[in-house]
Amino acid sequence: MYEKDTIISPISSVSGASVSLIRLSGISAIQTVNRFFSSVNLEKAEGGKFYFGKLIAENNQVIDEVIVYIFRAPKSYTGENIVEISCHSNVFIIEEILQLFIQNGCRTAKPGEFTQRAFLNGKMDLTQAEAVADIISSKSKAGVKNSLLFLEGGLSKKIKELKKDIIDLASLLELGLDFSEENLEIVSNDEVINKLNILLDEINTLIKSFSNSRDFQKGIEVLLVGEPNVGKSSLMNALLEKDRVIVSHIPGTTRDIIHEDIILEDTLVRFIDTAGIRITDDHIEASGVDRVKKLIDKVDIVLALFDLAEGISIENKELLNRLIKDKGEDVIIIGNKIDKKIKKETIDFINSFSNNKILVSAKLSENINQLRSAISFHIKREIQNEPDELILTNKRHHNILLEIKEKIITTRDSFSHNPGHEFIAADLREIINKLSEITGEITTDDILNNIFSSFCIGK
Amino acid sequence: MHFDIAIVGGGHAGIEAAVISAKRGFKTALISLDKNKIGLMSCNPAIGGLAKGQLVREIDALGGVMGKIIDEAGIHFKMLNTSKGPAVQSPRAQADRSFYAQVAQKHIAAHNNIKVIEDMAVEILVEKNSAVGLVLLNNKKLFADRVVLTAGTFLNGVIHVGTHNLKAGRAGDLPSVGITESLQRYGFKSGRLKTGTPPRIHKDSLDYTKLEIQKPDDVPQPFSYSTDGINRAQVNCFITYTNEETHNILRTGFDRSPMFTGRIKGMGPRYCPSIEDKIDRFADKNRHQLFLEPEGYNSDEIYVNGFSTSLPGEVQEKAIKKVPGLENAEILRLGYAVDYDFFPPDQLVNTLETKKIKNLYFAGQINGTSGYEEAAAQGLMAGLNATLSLQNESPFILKRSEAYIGVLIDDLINKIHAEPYRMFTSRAEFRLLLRQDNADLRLMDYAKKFGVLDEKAEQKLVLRRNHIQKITDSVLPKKIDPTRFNMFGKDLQSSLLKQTVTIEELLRRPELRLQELLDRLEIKNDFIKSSILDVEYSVKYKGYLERQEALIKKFNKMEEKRIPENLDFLSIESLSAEAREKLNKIKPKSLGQASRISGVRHSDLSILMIYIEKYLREKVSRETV
Repeated sequence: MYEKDTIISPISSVSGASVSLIRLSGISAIQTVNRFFSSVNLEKAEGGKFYFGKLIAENNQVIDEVIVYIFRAPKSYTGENIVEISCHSNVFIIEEILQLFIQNGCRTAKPGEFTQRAFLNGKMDLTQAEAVADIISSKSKAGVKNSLLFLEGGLSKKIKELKKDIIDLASLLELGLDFSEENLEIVSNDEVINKLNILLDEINTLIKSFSNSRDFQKGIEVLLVGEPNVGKSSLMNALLEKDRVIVSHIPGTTRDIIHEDIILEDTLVRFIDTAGIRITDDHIEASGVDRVKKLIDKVDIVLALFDLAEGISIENKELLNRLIKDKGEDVIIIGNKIDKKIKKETIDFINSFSNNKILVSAKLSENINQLRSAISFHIKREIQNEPDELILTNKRHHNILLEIKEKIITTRDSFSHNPGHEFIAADLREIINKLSEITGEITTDDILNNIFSSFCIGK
Repeated sequence: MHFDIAIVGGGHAGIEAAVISAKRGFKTALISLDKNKIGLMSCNPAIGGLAKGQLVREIDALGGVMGKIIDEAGIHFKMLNTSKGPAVQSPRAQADRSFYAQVAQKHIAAHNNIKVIEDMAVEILVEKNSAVGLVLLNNKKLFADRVVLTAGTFLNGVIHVGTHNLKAGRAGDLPSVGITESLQRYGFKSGRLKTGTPPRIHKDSLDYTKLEIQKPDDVPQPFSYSTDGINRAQVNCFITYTNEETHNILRTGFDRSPMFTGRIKGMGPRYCPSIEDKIDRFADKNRHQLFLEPEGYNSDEIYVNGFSTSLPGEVQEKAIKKVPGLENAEILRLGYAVDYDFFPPDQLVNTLETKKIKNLYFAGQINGTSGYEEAAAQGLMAGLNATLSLQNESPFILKRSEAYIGVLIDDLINKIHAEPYRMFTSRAEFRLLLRQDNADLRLMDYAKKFGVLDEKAEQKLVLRRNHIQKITDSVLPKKIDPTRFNMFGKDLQSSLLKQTVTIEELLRRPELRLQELLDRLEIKNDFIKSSILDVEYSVKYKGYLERQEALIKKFNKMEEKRIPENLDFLSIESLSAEAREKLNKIKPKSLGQASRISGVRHSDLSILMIYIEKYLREKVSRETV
């Protein structure tokens, strides 16, 4: 609905172009962007002009160098304050920018919402009204259609199940409130907490399946692990040589994790090097190990790099065993330095695994193409290309699910001060309303209907 | 004969409509077949209950009489859900059935400007699409500027017991024939609904040793804000349970059940099913609870609440005798089902005036509701709006965020109802704010504005507000020293206090109550109990209440987006086909109302908003040309 909040969305297609445009519209658009913009004070900047600078995240990491265009209300497309950010066309960067502003009070725009605001703010001719309505109608139909199609693989079923589970829980609570004279068993606090925890698990699975199914086409992440001096940087350079490097993050300290992005098979691939962190070393900082463990969980492919010219330590053997246990076929084992004298024990060890194995010389760029095809093979398996529209629709769904997750956690935790079930029921109602933003329908009588069909009510 | 307002029917809706109209100074006619049956409780002899209790308190705060009548005629008062928070507590009372009717008639008689006419209305008189009066029996005419129809279950009522049926409005009373047909001629749609009632048994035929006792509250709490206290003797109710034997006998009558054999066409309420329905739908439940409710001090009748049935008489009798405590039960009156005409309430606007005929209002069971309280609330609102329209004043519409009455009427006119509508607390999205104990704070200002607030109630309201203010301003900010608190904190299961805090901060601890703190801290006061509770609630649940307030703001924004009356929904192609049809049928007045119509989706609302804007601009440009 039309509220005066600030909305955000990419307004150019992601694939292909070298530059992408993200638009924020709403009363706090300028102020919000300004908080993360490095050069001029945008709040005082003149409208109708563009400014060059860096977008810096809350952890002081530079997200991208960008050009921002400022339009002050009412002289803008929507008639509200607008900021358009022109950034490098890289889904990771776009994603990071969107997330930054969403976490700072913006909301993902609904289909046709910029145009709708433009009309409502008097920026459009009367005769265009029908056109606007048609846009909303068709986009939301397409959205529903696309998302249903897209969600068919079990997700749409899960969303429906989730809604049913929440309504069931709300019904149990309402039963105790509205029908307490009926001699029915009343749900206990522990039961409610238990059910909320089950819901939380379901939501987490759903959120995970969203990212697994690449609803916003986030690309592929590849992690390089191996001892120092095994040739990680040389391998990176060899891989990146032929491909245009889009962004290079220069590490501030050796503890940082370095990443570089290239395009392979029309897909964005982010190579992540664990840089200075040795994961087999007992003396390193615990936080470093933690970060690497998390990374291993998160990434799509792990390249485990070994020096063929060296022997293989017990720690390294353990490392690979663990990795393959966790990631299975997603681990590609690379033996580096075929240009040197190869140790038999090392190659025998590598050969004892059924995983994809490639022997290369990073230094001489030998067999690097073979490695590329191995990575490409993984990419093809992981990604199906989807139309651009889906990025927006499902991103919105994803955000709604994240909000619901937060709400369930606060609801569950509120039991510590034991509020009555009428308060928990109010929380659940908000959650059901949120969920109806995904399904598109507005439902009000679900809970009572559910009670009447499941319980013997009535004196 | 010419009246300002004519009210058809002397049930709970008709009484409120008549009294409010008279209180506001209008010449009122109340048409009833039998003046001794005005205010008769046709079904169970009780007022209030969960959510319904809130309705009665609201009716009282708005100048209605139901609360006052039950306070005089109640014989078993009980506050329900006392183990839960104040937002879901509700008062309920058993009434002395015949005394209740007498008190109701006394309230009618107290107004000189109400004339009770013993007759039957057979037709609504209409001129130029406006109601101008009624045709009574023998073609007598009664003229009135406004007509409120509260015919209850009497319109073409048919009573069913087993395979027998009989045209009647209620056991022993004639049905009302003619009105439905006269309205159908003006294009009104009507439907059939069904309700039922259980057998009544003789109180001396019960074996009380086998029954559980249900005691009333030690201190009965009145419904009306004007009642100081209730001193009448209170009686007990009793509880027993059906068993498999009862169920088996009942099943032998299923082949003659008017419900199962399809002779009753109307849909019955799922929340108030007949006993045969319960054992049919929930076959795995081997017993059902029955409440045995006395019908009055001097009545021999016991109402078997929970045993509503329309099975053949001999089956009822055999089955009930298998229930513990009822082995020798003497049935005084058999249970029966009644089906009757109703007018789907999407034919009304939110003042309860009909869309088709001006100056004609519908209230109560003919709108497809069930329950005395729901009926009374509608009667009050229809009566009030009829008088306001006579004065050319703007209508009185309660918001969903203000009162259960607002929820009731909004639900009635916007939703599709397949069964009689009953109020539940869960229907009110702002339930946490709509408490039975704060109906006065929420609504009495309206009653004052309309000149229907009793002097006594007004004085109490002023005092109550004054005390709330005092507690908030002078008690809550008081600083409490840890040593002082720790002397008694442990007794209240509260952990040690380490630093000085205010009473407000202390009150956030779930285990602490304001009254208790006032006593322990020896803070002298004469605060009204309800004011103390009110402040306590606002402090303890501040977070939740603020969230509800925020939701209300958002909600009201949508309510304020008016939809122009002439907007042609059918011409808006971008709307989904379902939304187009539903919107056209209900013709919502605001975007908020549109959002509550079943079948309207989020995208439809966005499109609607654009068309509203377009319509308004076209209008402006037409006017400036």
